[in-house]
Amino acid sequence: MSLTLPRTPSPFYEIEAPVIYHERTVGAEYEIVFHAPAIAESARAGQFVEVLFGEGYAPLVRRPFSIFRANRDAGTCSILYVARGSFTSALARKRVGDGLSVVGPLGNRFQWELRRGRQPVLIAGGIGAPPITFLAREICEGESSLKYRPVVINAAKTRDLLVGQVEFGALEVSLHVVTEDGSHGRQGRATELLREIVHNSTAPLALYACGPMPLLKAISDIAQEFALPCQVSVETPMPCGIGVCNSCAIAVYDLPAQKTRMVRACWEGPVFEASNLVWEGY
Amino acid sequence: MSLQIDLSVHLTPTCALPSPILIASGGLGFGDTLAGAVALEGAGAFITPTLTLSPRQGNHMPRTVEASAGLIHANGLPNPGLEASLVTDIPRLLSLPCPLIVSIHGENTEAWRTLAERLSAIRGVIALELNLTPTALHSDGFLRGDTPNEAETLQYIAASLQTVRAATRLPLIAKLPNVGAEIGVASRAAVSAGADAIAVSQAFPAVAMRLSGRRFRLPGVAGGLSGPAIKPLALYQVWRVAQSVSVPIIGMGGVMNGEDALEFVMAGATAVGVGIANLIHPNTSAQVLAEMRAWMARNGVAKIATLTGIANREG
Repeated sequence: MSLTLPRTPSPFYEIEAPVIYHERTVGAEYEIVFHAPAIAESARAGQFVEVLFGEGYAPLVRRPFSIFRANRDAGTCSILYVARGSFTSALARKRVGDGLSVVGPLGNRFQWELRRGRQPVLIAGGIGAPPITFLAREICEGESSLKYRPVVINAAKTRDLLVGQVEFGALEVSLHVVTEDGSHGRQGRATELLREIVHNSTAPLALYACGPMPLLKAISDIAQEFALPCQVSVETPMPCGIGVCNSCAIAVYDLPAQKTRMVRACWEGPVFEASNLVWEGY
Repeated sequence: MSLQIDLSVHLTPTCALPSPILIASGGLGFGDTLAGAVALEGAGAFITPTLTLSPRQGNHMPRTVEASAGLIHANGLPNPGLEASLVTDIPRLLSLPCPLIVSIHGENTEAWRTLAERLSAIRGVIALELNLTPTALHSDGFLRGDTPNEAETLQYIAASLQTVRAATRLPLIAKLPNVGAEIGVASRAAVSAGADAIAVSQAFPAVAMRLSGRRFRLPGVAGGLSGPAIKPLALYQVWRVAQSVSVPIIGMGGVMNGEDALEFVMAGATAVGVGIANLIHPNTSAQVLAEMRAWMARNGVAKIATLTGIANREG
């Protein structure tokens, strides 16, 4: 069995991409759309782009953002981000017509086709939501007759940290919102809700998740307990995204060799079968 | 009339490179991700990440922190080890459209010797670069307690080079440590021990703080600072080495564009390494070459080699 999910064998491109749309969705959440036909052509849910802008080497290195939407016909891609740190706050000041330097598409993707016949349960934690929205859209649009409507759990500590609510609301999914402080949706944790869904479901399920590592670990535990297939997209710093800097190494089980091995989350990931990852330490 | 631009340089009298722009060790990793995306035609050489005899998984995360115009990194020399590399990485790298230089670091004398012997047998490897930082295998690359004193550092440089020199006829590039010994003195020790060329600069020891946690950002505390922030420090080293020895110098440290590369050449470098810039713009080396050509055409310089160390010859 392979240690990592297969990659789409497409090269990446570095593109000076003009911004063609940039609007606040809600709160501090923005969608920025840029023209990058070579990236839009093959972008799939789970893949990401590395973004850079600015002058005088501030910032110096790129930041990774999951692809939120790709429109092949228009040749555009977008990312959904929350203006919080210095990088994203500067990004929020970009205007239509400005240029962004974008490298992509990068990484592998969610392989939901492997799990046809199971009901997809998608879990998004905080800023892990954008690739989950892309995945939900891909599943909804990719299946001519959906046997099961996808279930989405969108979770965050508090209302202001929920991401992708507008988009999830527009999709044909069964949406559950949960915040730890109860400021929006149900009060509690994503994993409590997931347990209930798993308990009450009569359909065979397949889990997909993106969010902070402790959340992914807890989801992986549930998947293991109930013997459910589970793919996770890991969030880790990725200064290059092109598999050269080795700053995003993550441990996977190499069962035939009975040992663990480091792979690059940006290149062999960011999507992994949860059962292949070494979760100790998270 | 258009000027015929000649970018070729010589690492040794018999080792010619198609251009002075090299992919510095680690700048494009082991080259397994570049197909269809990164053009290396015209590059002077591709230098591999440092190989050790045994495989190394590398340090704990996080391994990098951005600094002002720089990147602090503490990877811990992750690499598959010599034997695995000979099967997978080296054959792939030999198919790149530019010459291949292998960077090595021996865990001990025997490892230095084995690395040199095995790699000498590979047709197409044009030179070895010795990563001569004595503490390269420490978790952070830099000692926390006593660092080797100057005598110990010079002894380490000389002994490592002598071991490798006895094991191979390949040109040897000594990539000098930038702590432990003054760089000019270190370069003389390296040349006396058999180095054919000197590479400077390594990343500089650096620390980053996390104010909110009241602690250091990197788990091993120290890392190596690379990027534009170190360019003046690296230029200083090139100048010092050029004053100290007469072998070719490979200069590197924060080269982001053609003008940066030309500065290194004028300070004394025969060839110039591009490292961090590749992470940001994967095709930097081609861009740097194009910018160098344009500058030379504008300024009526036909041969890049005539610019090497030109600043040292004035006055």
